[in-house]
Amino acid sequence: MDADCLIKLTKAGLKENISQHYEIAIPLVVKEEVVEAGKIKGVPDAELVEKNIQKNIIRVAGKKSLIHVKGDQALMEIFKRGQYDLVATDDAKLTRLLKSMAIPYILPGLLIYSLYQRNIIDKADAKNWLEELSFFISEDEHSMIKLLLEERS
Amino acid sequence: MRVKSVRIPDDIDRSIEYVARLEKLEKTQSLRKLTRLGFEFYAAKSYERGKLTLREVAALLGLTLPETIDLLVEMGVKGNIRAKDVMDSLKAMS
Repeated sequence: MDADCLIKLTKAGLKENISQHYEIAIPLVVKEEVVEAGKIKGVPDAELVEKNIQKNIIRVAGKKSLIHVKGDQALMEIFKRGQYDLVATDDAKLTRLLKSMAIPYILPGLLIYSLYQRNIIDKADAKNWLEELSFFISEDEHSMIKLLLEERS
Repeated sequence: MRVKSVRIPDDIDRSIEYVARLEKLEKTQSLRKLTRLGFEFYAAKSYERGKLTLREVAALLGLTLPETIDLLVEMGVKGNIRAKDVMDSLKAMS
């Protein structure tokens, strides 16, 4: 999972709900970007994510690199190792890069839709979760997921 | 802090004076404030158009990623995913 998706789920209060149904891994560099950098500035989201890592709700993948690797590069490298299904992100530029490398991705709104599609959560929960997330996702993403939820009845 | 000499058009100069007067600032402080706000807006719009990643915006503005998301939301930029990205992701899932 990329940092933007992780932070948006955290801010929307959905990280725990989502992590109950998906195995979430983040590259070490994403942990550094979200937790270490956030703690220096006293960002509350940083502590929440750190607690999740300590409780193994979120797994940290990869090792410390000697060269400076950006979060998106680290995501792709870890994905290529082959034990992951999808990259979770909410960043248009990164999705273009993932598409060009034929790496499948999932958006935070679709994490919710997928749980509903697999009958893990009901429509009311899916719609509530989507509304919580709507403060942090684009209008396009919000309305498309809403439409998908309405279609499958 | 570097010292720079710049030519400022009258309308921008009036804006600087307006903010300085309204917020009881020195004109240089007003100019710095407006420049920062302008750059934040530029970065936010570039992100909205998918030209920058969140990570790039954060690096440009010297903010953490959570702070950057807060700033973008405050500026009315909630995300940059288009309908086509949703459909492409959906196809990859199935």
